[in-house]
Amino acid sequence: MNAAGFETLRLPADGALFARLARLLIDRHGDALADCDLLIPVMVHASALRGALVAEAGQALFMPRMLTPSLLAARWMGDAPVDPHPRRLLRLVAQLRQQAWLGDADPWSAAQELLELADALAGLPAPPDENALQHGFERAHGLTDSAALSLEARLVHAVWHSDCTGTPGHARAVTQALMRAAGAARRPLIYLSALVEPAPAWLELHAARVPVLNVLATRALADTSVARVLHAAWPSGPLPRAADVSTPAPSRDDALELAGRVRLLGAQSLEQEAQCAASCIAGWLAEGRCNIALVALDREAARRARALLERRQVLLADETGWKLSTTRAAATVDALLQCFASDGYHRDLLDLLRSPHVAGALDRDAHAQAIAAIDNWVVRRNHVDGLHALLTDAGREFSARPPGQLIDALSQAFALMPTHNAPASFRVERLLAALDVLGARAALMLDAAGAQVVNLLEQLRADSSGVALDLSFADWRKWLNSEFEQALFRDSAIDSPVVLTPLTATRLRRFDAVYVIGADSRHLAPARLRGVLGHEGLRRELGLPDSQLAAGQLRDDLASLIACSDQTVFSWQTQRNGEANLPGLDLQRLDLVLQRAGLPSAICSAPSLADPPPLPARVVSSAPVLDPARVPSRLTASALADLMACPYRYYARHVLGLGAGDEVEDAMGKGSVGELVHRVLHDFHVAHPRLAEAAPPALADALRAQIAVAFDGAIARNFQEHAWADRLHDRADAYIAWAVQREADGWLFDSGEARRTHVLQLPDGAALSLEGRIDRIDRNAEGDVALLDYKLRSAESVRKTLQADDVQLAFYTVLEGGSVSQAAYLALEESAPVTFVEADPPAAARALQVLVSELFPALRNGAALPAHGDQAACRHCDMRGLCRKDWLP
Amino acid sequence: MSREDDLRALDPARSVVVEACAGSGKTWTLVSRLIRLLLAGAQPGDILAITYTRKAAREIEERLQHWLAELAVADDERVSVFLAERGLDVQRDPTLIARARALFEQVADARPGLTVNTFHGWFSSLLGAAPLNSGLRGLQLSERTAQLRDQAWAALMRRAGRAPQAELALALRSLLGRCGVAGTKTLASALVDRRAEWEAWLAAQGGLAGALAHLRQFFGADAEAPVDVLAGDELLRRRALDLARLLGQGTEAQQRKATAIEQACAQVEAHAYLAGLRAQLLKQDGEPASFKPGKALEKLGVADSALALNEQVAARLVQCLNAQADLAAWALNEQGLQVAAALLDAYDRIKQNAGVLDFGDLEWHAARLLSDAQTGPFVQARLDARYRHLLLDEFQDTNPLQWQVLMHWLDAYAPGQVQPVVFVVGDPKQSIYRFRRADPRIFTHAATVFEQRFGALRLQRNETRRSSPAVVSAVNAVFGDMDVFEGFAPHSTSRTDLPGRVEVLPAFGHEADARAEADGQAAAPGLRNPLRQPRLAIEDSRRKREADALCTRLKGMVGRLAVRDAHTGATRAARYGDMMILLRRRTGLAVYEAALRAHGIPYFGASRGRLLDTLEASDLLALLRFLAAPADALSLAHVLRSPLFAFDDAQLLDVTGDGAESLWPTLRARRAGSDPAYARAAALLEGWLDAATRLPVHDLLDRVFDQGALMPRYAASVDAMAWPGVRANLEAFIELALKVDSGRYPSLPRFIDELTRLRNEDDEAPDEGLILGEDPARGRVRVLTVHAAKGLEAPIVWLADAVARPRTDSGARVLLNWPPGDAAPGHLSLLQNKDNQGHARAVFIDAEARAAAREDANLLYVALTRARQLLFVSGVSPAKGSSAGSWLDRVSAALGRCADAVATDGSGMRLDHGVLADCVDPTPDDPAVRAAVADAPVPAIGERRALVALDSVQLWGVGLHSWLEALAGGEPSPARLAGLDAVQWRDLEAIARRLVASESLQRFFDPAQHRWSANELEFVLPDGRPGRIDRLVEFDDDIWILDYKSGQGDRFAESYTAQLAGYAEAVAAIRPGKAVHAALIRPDGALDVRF
Ligand code: SF4
Repeated sequence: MNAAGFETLRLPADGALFARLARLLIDRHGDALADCDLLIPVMVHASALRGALVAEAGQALFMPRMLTPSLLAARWMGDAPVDPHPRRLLRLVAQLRQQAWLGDADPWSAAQELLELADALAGLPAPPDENALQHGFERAHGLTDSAALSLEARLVHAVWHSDCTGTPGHARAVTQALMRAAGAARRPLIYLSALVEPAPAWLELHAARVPVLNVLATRALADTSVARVLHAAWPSGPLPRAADVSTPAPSRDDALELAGRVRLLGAQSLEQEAQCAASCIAGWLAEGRCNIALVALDREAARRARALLERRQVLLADETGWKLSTTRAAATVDALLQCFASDGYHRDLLDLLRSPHVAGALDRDAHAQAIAAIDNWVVRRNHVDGLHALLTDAGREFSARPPGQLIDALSQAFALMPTHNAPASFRVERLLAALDVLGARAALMLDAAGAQVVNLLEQLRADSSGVALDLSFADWRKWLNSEFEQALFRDSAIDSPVVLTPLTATRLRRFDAVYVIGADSRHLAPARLRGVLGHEGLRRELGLPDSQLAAGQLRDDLASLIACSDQTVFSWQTQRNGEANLPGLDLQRLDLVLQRAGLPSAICSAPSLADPPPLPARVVSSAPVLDPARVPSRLTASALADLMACPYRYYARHVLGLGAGDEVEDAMGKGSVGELVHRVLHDFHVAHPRLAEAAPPALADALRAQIAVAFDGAIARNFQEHAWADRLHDRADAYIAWAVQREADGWLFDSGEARRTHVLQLPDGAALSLEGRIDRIDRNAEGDVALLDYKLRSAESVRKTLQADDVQLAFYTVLEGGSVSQAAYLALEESAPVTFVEADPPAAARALQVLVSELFPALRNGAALPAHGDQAACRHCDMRGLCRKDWLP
Repeated sequence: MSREDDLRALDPARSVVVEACAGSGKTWTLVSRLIRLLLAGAQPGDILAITYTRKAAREIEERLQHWLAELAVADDERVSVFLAERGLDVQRDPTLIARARALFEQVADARPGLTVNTFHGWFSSLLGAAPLNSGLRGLQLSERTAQLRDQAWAALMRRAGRAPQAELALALRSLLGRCGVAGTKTLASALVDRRAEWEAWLAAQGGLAGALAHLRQFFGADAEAPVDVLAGDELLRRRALDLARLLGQGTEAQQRKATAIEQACAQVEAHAYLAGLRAQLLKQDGEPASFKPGKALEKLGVADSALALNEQVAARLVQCLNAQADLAAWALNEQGLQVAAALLDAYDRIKQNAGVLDFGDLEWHAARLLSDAQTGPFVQARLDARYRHLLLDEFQDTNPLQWQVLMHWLDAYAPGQVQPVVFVVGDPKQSIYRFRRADPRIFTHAATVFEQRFGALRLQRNETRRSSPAVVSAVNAVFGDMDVFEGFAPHSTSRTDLPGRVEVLPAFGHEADARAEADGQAAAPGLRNPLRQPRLAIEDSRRKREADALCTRLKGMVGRLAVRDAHTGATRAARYGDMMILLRRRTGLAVYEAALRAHGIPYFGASRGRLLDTLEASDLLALLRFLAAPADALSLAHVLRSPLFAFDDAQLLDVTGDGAESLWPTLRARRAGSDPAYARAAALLEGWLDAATRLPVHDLLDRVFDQGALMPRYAASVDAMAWPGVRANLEAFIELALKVDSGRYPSLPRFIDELTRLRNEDDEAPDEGLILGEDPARGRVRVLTVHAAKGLEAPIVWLADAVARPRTDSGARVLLNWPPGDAAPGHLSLLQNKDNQGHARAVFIDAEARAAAREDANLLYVALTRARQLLFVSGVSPAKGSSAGSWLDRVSAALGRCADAVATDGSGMRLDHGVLADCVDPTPDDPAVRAAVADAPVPAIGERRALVALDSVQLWGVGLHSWLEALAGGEPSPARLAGLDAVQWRDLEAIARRLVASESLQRFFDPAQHRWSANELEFVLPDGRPGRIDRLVEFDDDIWILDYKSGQGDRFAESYTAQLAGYAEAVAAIRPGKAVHAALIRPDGALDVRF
């Protein structure tokens, strides 16, 4: 058979497809088969086909050359110019901006959409002229005189036209390469396809020079039991049927045969679905089936199932691609950009530092130490953001030590980032250089995804060169993100007969068993297209196939999956986020057909999750008993408050010494404001020990000046701190009035911020050192002492504190010793200060001493520290994970 | 509503508005109508059904598909009955059966298909079809905007900080001083929440300036200062003095007052004048003080004139105070709106950069698109959806803007065109979403509009198919004459034979014992010893008693009381799954849950958003924190205490001996020590620390679950009742990791940040895990807020905490008046608190309060109507004030009006219908124990290859290969390999060309000199492995296998020759009878013949 020409042949698409094809080819070509090119949909078919050829020939033979259309295209691309996607996107954005077609709307997403469209049109010749196209658009919409529509038509025309006449995009370049291949074809061509689309133009062109055999694998021809049922459920070919004719039911025997091979399982949760998949696949493996596919309709569930299988030492070869942007390696690059974008915002900074790829020359431990040191520095300095300050100050502090090296590297990296608008390629180049400085490029090259990230960046640098569009940092990041979203990462490091694969890649493949995960109506449906591509009328107008085709294709894929494997399981989650989640429509139809044939519904529930293997029950207990050596010999007011509220909390904080670390405050917390206010009042009173010596307005002014000094820095950092400063400012007069009155009442300011220590001799002979700092101490003419504690809280909230056995004032009274006759809280978060006076400070102090003298010896004596905080204590307690009160019996 | 009415509601040719009471089968009606529409010939693509929540939309779809599937396989008899129930007679039209059967496929195949959506979903598709230059295409709807809002706030602060003297900064500062940071944020965010209404208002007022001008006038800010007006009011001064004169003749107190008034009138300074009069005539709160002229004045005969004067003066003062309050309100609005608008601005920019929009944007943009004469038709045409049938479900929850969008959509149907047929169903009595801006008044308005425009039929359905007559009587008694519940028509029920009971328990107070306990604590001399005695809060003891009583009663019913199964209709013993506890709010929830736990009653918590607060989730979070920052000793200690390592306190004391800072180094040093627990912890953590830098969070967690034997260890650490919940939460956490992780640019620190953020944000906080099909025979009690219970029902419902006060509209908010049907709000302003609410807005505030009261009643209606058979109402008496007006009070009073109600012991009330019998529970009492099925052991499958990159020698070889292949095969130049530069590529090309043209190799490359040749020839070796030959050349009597060599070192020479021998053997088998040679072709053209 040597005459050029085009012949189409249909073969039933079932498990015997390759055997039939092999027979046919051997019969037709014999020895000359080695001279043919055989185009197969995906390369994985090659080995099956090879096997079939050997088996059918019954002897060794030379194989035809097997290629996929895209491999063939790649051979014929040669050095023909191609306009890579990144560059097209940049150019289009530049053009949209220049022509101001979109007004001030963001051009990026429109540009993306237009390029998608251009790719979809790549198989078609050049567009009609702009007017004709616009009329077509109007026709399709039944609309005239629509500005929106004519703009769209104009843009589509521009993009389409430039793809045809200028340097083509990748999709069109592929088509053109295939046409070139056809023009120079010398070898007979066999084209195997499962697509119902009409044969592509390049294939027909081949036929002018060489014989072309177009082999169409179609399930319409298959006539097995399974095929008959599938046909009844999912008729192949064009759909329109009379509305009131439902498909005839298949025979019960046929249905039984199919029901024996297909299972439809509804799971209640992602975990249940994934566990079900994992144990199903493990079961198959145990039965000796090994050529298994896990079809990932729902990627999250598939990832979960993969992890569960890996626990059982079952590794999956991954044929699905993951967006490069979802890899850890890409996150490192983004962390660098984010840190730059946010001017070294502390969280972004630490995220960057913690990336395993930026360790530079440091080993793991040194890296960890450096991170901890910088983390510490950031908290200590309350460094919210500001790269410059960070790099100079921290750099100086750590100089040559490991953290310093890291900081230095960062400095250099950030110095490389352009601060003004710049072309994309220049920015990518600088980014690569920055990665180099951080040692990240080399580190990235060590893992598969990292290597792809670096390759992509290098590719982007090349692909964006020569575009004279200056981008802002934010715009450039959008562009970069879109490329990271488009690039796929495929981890090809695993060889396994069990494959994780997308549905379309199963076309015509034979498996021992297949598990389809995520077969709900959302995932098991043809992709929804957007914009122009989503409009049926427009698709027809443009010469693109309509959406029926995609729906038919999906069914063909499913049918082929079932027909070509011994076992197929479909599972889905029956609910998501509390909403019903229905199985894919096609599965429901299949089930209906089975029911029509008299079988019960095939839809059943996934097996419930097995309980974990039992372990001996463990009783949580939280009432530690201390070794006498660990009983503290110091006590502060807040420690005592902890002990009163909950002994376990006291134990965790003050015996174990645990505490939540400080955190960077973006805005001043109440605690920091409190400190500031304490300082302001203290400084003020120290400067004005006798208020009577000055006029109240002058005093208030002095106080206001103190406030201004104290708050200036905070306000410069964050405008919202005005809230406190202004409020205190407004209340200065009231405070002075109160203070003047107090002085008039005989209480004269004595000292403030007074550190005191008082050693108590306990009954068991040990000593306990009570320590604390008293906000303010006043004295009167009689030598009596008054203690004041400032509270930046409302009177109401101070009143509440007093109700819950409060010990602070009593504690201070003990600290100060004998002469205290007044102890009070001063609530400052009121328009005028409000005092709360302890009724009898000496008595309270005595009670406190009695209690403490009882508590500490008891602790040394083996008294336990139970976890029994009340609701109020537990609500904000950071020791909840330690005391495990939630689970205490 | 009669059965005829029922069927009229399904008539596909008529527009219908149905107001349907709770339990009357709204979904049944709506889906039945869908089927009638389809059978009447409507194309699926002609139908648009809109409901309020996605959950409801899915339910409608599910029901429709379920019915269609049932029709598709049912026998004729069943199909006829099904159709007859929906008013179709198969006798009259025999084709109906076949058509009904085919509906499933008709709907499944339809393109465009039948649309069941939410308003927001529908709006999203509108925006997706917006013109290219709208800037809306490609934007994602983000349900999580809290972070973006925080960023916007920070941006606003920066902006103000940059120009501290600008008007904006000054307004902001003044607001910050007045309301504080939190207050200012709340106020400004309130406007962000109402962004759609705000935009509509701005559009109506002509922008911010217009809106401010409107408000300035509204608040009377343009007028002269009210005190000055007051001071200038001579009539007032005269009246005040007249009053003083009269009072001067009265009692001593009156004389004092008279003097004070005279003194006030003598004041020149306006404020002092006002203050003086105010003190005499008004109370503290600004209301007129009560005034009694008394005997003395009566005797003089001037009592009446004194009264009148007092009233006039007081009224004038009130008027002045009101005007002042209005000025304060204006000041707040002038600053607040400016600041809020700037915040919105910043927020918009941030969203724009992130490529997202929020719900408010969605509505506003949808309204804008459709109302525009250009874009409206375009969007409709682009969607390709000329709906002919519009079905609107839960219509009482529609908000004014949604209604506007709907009207715009309907307006696009030209008068001459076929008009759509509209079906509206809803129940204003169940409108409880005011906080989501729902306005139940729209229901009535829409009904009128549809009546006029489409001749819609209005039906009211007051028959429930759900509840026992006992419940219905109680509902009728409660709402029959409740003032705020206007329009209520008494309900009836089709379940007349369903026994039932409504019982109100007396409010639980702090009875003697509770008080004594508290007293005992306070009365003890000295301070409480915290080691021995926990602090006891009094406030919870009442609720605890309520919860205890509730648990005891529920326990008493389970397995004993006969209830009717909702699905089968059979009578059987009650299960926990039949019971539902409803709460108005979450406060106190913990107490009820603790009681359920203590009583051993399995339950599902009202767990929305609480996953990250659970102990098990916090354990995992602590682990991740430690893995991200090993210096975090608290997190490490937390993990060590968790079941994963289960350290006891002695062990914890031991490892913290060197100070908490060195906890991890200490533990690591113990790795080799004697305590296996230390060794295990150190080894596992060390391994995970290493994995944490490389693995995605989900994979890391999976490793933790697996290696740490996490599930079994947790199972062993909690009691059997808590375990299913703990397990579900652990699974939910790992699922969360998977979801967050699958996003862009994952890293452990980012994940932790994200969780911390999620935990702090109410709306976004992840839900607890679902306890799956556990113990289906018995089920679990559901604990729900009334809001969450909407749409649910249960045989036994307990409404607890029924004395709690309703949440009132207080705090900073947007005050809005948007009459239904108007295109834009008639009023919009900011309201911070009572002090600056002003007077001019009183009508709106009153209206708001009325709406709130009505909604509170609606909430009660929803709660009561959840019950099928038994309804209990309980609550605790309030700490202060009375329980009058509370739900408990209302239901109790209503029962008191029912003739059949009887008092129970302890002053409760009960109303029974029929006999509530006991029956025997056939299922055993103890939960079924499921045997764990162990999977069959599986051999290890698959292997991981090391990642190898080609070295330069190999690259060179591959390149040469490509060139030779292309040249020998007559194909164009191959594409340059990544890793080789252009110069190298040209070199390779030159070499290849030289080889192909070289004299000595001519016979291998010139087709004229051999019989047959092939490149890249594949075959199968005898052992089944595939082989591939670079070039095979067949001469008349021998065959040559040629292999291209790059020549830079023959590193594989030996094995390579063996491989070639294998190839030769295979070739010999394929072409028997010919000698087979093998040779290498070197770059210099040398032929290295191997055999
Ligand atoms: S959570 Fe409660 S019980 Fe536990 S330590 Fe804190 S205060 Fe004590």
